[in-house]
Amino acid sequence: MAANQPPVLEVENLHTQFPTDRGTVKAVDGVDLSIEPGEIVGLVGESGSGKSVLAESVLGIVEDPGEIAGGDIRFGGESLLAMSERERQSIRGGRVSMVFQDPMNSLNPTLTVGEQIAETVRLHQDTGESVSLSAEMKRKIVGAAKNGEAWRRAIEMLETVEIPEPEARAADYPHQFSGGMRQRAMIAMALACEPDLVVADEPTTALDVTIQAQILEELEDLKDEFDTAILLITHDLAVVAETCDRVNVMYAGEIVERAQTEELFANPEHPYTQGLIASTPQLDNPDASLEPIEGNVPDLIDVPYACHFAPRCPEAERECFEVHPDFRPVGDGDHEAACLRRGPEEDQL
Amino acid sequence: MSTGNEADDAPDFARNEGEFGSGEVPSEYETDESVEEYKTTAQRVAGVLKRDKLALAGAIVVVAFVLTAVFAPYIAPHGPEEQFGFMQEPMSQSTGDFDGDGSVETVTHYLGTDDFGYDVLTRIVYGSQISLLVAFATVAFAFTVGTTLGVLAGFYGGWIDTLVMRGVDFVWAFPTIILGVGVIAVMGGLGWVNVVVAIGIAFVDDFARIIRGEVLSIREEEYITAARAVGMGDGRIMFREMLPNAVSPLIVQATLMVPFAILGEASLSFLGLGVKPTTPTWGLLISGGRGFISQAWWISVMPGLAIMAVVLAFNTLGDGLRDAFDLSEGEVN
Amino acid sequence: MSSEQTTTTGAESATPGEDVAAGEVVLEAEGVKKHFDQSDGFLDKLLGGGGSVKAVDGVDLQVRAGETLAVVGESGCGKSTLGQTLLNLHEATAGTVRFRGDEISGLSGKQMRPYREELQMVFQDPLASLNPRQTVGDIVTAPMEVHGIGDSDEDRLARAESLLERVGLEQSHIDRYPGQFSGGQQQRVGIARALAVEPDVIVADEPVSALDVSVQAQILNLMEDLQDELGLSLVFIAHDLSVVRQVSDRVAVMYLGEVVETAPTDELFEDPKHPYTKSLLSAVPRIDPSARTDRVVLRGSVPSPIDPPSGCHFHTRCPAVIPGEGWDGDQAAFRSAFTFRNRVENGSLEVEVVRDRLEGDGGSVSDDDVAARIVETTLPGDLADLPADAAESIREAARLVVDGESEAAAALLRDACPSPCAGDHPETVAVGDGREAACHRVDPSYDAPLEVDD
Repeated sequence: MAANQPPVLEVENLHTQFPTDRGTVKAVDGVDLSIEPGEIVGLVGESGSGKSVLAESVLGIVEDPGEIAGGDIRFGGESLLAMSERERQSIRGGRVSMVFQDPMNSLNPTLTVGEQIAETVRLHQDTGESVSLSAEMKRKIVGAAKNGEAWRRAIEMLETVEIPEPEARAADYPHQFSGGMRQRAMIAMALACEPDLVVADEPTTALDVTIQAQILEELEDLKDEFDTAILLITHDLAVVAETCDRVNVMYAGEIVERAQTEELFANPEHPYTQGLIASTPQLDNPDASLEPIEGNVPDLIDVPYACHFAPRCPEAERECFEVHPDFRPVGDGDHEAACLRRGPEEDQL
Repeated sequence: MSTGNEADDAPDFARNEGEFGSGEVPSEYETDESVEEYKTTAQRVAGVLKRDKLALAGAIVVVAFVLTAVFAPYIAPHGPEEQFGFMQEPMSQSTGDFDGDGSVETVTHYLGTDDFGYDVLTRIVYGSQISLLVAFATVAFAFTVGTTLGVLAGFYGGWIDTLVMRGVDFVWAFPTIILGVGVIAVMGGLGWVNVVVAIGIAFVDDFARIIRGEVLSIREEEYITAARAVGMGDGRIMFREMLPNAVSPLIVQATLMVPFAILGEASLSFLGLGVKPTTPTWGLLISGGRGFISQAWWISVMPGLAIMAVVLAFNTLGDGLRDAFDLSEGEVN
Repeated sequence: MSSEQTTTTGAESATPGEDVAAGEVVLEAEGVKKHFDQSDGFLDKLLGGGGSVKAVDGVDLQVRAGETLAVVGESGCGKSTLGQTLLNLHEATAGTVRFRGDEISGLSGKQMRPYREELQMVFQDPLASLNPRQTVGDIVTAPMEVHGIGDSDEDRLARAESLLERVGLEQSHIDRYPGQFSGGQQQRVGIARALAVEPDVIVADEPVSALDVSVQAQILNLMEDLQDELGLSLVFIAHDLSVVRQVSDRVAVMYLGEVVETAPTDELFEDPKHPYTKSLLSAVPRIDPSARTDRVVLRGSVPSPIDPPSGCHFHTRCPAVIPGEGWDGDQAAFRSAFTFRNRVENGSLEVEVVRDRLEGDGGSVSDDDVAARIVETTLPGDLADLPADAAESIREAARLVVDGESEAAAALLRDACPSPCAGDHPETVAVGDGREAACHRVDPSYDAPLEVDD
C-alpha cells in the first residue's frame, strides 16, 4: 500500500434519501467511509441498515425516486458527484465494479456468460473491437469471434476464478451454471477490467457454506493478483471476521463503529456491535446463551431521537435521545465508536 | 444484563445499565408504531372510484339504472299500458284526461310513443327491470358455475382438470346465440330461468379459465401447504384459502360480463326467443319497433340507446377496476 | 425404535447435551424415498425421457420425545423435502414413516387428519406461509376449527389471543393482517399457529434462515422456551451449523438425499467421522478464525439429484476417497486423478471448444495438443505430481476422448484409478454410542483407515 496515494474511495457525510407518501426515508444519514488501495473493508449491517443503498450510491445507481441529497463521494481523489453521467458511466465497470447478491438476477439470461464478460472488456478496454450497435448485433446473432481479444480475455477470467473447462463454459448460458459458478462468473466479470475497487453486496449470502468458503478464499487471492480494493457488504459477522482487514458497523443509516477486524471482535465497544455479537450463535462457543437485541429496526422516516439505536439500547440515558453521538476513540489503533457512553473517561456520560 | 459466557474473550452486552433499558423510550420521543395499511377489496374499489373519474361516472350510471329498475313504478311517468296518441315524436305532448280525475292535463312524451300509443320512456323504465334482472342473474349463474368448475379443475389437476376444461371448451366453441337457441329448445319453454341458463352457459368458460389460472399459481404458495399441514380438507382450502386471493380478476370479469349478458338477452328477445313477460324487455322493445323504423325511428332507437348507456357504464367501471387491481389485459377478457 | 421404561413426554424434557437416548421414539422414518418425476407427460414417459429427481433417496431417522433433532445439509440435499415427507405433505415414493408406532406414510387426507393434531410445521418464509387475506386471528383459530378444539368462536379467539401473548406478540395484534408485521413477528404468528393444536412434534423447516441475526436470536430463544414448557419434540431443518449447534440435541447430516452421519450434537461437532461432515464444519466462517483447525475446502459443486453418482454419492468431491489397491501415490494425487476420472465419466468434456480456443490462440492444433490442453484444464493438480503410470493413463485417456472414444477413456481410467467408493454404496454403521455414519472408512469391513494422511 503506497503511503501517499489517495484513498480509492472516500465517502464524506453522505445523505441518500427516498421521498415517499409518508415522509422522507433517510436511508443513508451522514456516512463517512474510506477505503485504501488494496484493502478489504467490511460493511456489516442487518436489513434496514442502509448498506445496500450506500453501495448503490457509490456506484451511482440509486433507484428512482431515491437521490443523493448531500455529501460527497470521491474516487481516487475525484468527486463522483461532480462528474457528468457519461464520465460516471466510463468509470462504472471499468474502475469500479459491483458483484450482486443474486447472480441469477444480475446476469443476462439471453447472453452467454463469455459474451457478458467480453462485453465489459470491450466497453472499458482498448481491444480494437467496435462497440457500435451493428457490431453488437452481429456478435449477438453470429456469435463472438472466438479469436477476438475480448473473448480470449473472458476465457482467461473464467480460468482465473477456477471454473473448470473454461472454454466450454464460456459458451454456456447462466441458467446452465450452478449457483456458485454463477457467482464466480459475476466475480470474473467484475474483475475483467482490473478495477481499483470492487463493491460486493452480499456476494455469498445465497450460496451454500462450502461454496462460500471456496469463493471467500478465492476473493483474497484475487485481490492480491489484481491489486484491487474490495468493499464487502454483508450481514454475516463471521464472513467479515474471516476476510476483511477493517470493518464498519452500520445501523439505521449510520456507521456506529469502525476498527481493524481483529480489534473489533476482540473489543467491540458500541452497544449495537456488542448486541450483534451476543446474538450470533457461535460454532465454537455453544454454551453461551443467545442474547437477542429486543425490538425492531426503526422506521427511517423522521427519526425523532438523536442516537438511532437508543430505543433498543440497554444503556440508554436521556442525553442519548437528545445529543447526536460523535465518534470517540476506543480500544487500540484507529478503533472508534459513536456512542456517548464510550471513549475516554472525561467524555463519557 | 450479564451474559453467562464461559469464554473470557466473549464481549459483554450491556456493560452499564442505562436509565432507559432496551425498548424504553422517554415519553416525548415515543413514536407510534407505524403499521402498513391493509385495504380490503371493498376499500380498494372505493379507492379506485375516487381516483378514476371515468370509472366513477360509470359507477354512477350503473347505480342509476339499478335504482330505476328497482323503483320502476315510482320513477316511470305513466303506466306501461297507458295509451296516448300513436307514434308521437319525442318531446311531443298529449292533452287529455289520462288519470281519470276529470281534469285535462298535458303530458310530455320525452321519448315519444310507440305504435300502440304507449309512452316509450315508461316502457323503457319498466323494461329495465327484466333486462337487468336477467343480466345479473346470468352473470351470477356463470360466475357460480364457472368458479366452481375452475377451482376444481385447478386444484385437482390431472384428469379432472382435463375433463372439466375440455367440457368447458366444447361449450365455449359454440356461437353464443346458437347455443342459447339450442339450450332453450332442449329445456323447452321460454321462462326467464331458461334464458338465464342459455346465455349463462356461454359465459361459464371465461370465469372457469380465469379462476383455474389463478388457482394453479396459488396452489404453489406456501400458505396452501401450511393449510394442508394444519389438516384442512380440500373444500375448505379451495373456497376459504384460495378463492379470496383470486377474487380480483373475477370481479373485473363479472363487471365486464354484464353488458354481454344484456346484449345476449336483447338478441334472444329480438329473435323472439327471449323472455316474454307482461312488460317487454329492451330487446322486445327494439324488436317491436322494427317495422316502423322509417316512420317512427324512436321506438327502436331509444331502447337501443338505453342499452348502449348501460353497456358503456359497465365497461368503464370494469376497466377502472381492472386498472385498480393491476391486472393485465390478457388476464381478463 | 426401542421404547424404554422412562418415557419423557410431558413437561420433563432434556436440556441440550444431556443423554436423550432413553427417550421414547415419537417419529421415525425407515428407508424413506421421495422421487419427483421429471417427465413431461405420457409420451415422455413412454419414450423413457426425463429422469426423476431423487430428492430423498433412502433415509432412516428417529426423533425422540422432548428432543431437538437437527437435519443439516446444503441446498439440494433434500432436507426440506424430507421434512414435508415426514408430515405426509409429500407422498413417499418408498419407505415408511411412523408416528408412535402408527404408520402414517400411506394415509389419505382424511385418515391423516387426526395425526395432524400431533404433527405440525413451521415454514421458512414467514410471510409466504400466512394467507395474506386473513387476519392473524383467522389464521391461528383455523387449526382449532378444523380439529374441533374450543367450544365456540369466542373461546377459540380467546385461546388465540393467549397464544399470541405466549409467542411474544400482543393480543391486539389479532386483527392485523400478515403484511403489517415484520419478519420476526410473522414467524411468531407461524409458531402460534403450529401450537394452536398442541402438537407433540413440530417440524421447523429453516425457521430462522430468512431473519436478521438479532431477530433470529429472539426466535431461537422463543422456540427453546416453548419446547421446555410444552415438552415438544422438534425436527429442526437448517443449513446454518452455528444455529444448529445452539439448539439441537442430535444432528443428522444430509448429502444428496441421504443421511451420511447422525450423532449427538457435541460429539458431531467435536469429533466428526464422515468426510463430508468434516468439510462442512471446516467451511463455516467463524468470528474467531484462529479457533479453526484445518480447513478442508471442497472442490467442485454438488452433483445433480437427477443422476446422483454411483456408489457413495459423495465420491466425486470427497477428499478422503479411498484409493484402490496398488495406488502408489499420495491421497492428494489420487483425489486429483480421481477427479479427472469423474469428469470423463460424466461426459462433460467438450473437445471442439478446446480445439477452437487453441486455434484461436494461433497455436498448432494437433490432436496431441488438444489432449494436452484438456488434461491441463480438467485435472485439478499437476500431472507431474501423479505416479508415472497414472499420469500415462491420463494422457492416454485424454487422447481417446479427443478421438471420440469416451467410453474407452472412461474404462481406462476406471482401471487406472479404481476406488471402492465409486462402486459400492456405503452402509450405515454404528460408530459409537448413539452415533452412525455411512462411509467406507468407518465400515470395519473395508480395510481403510479413518484418518487420511495428506
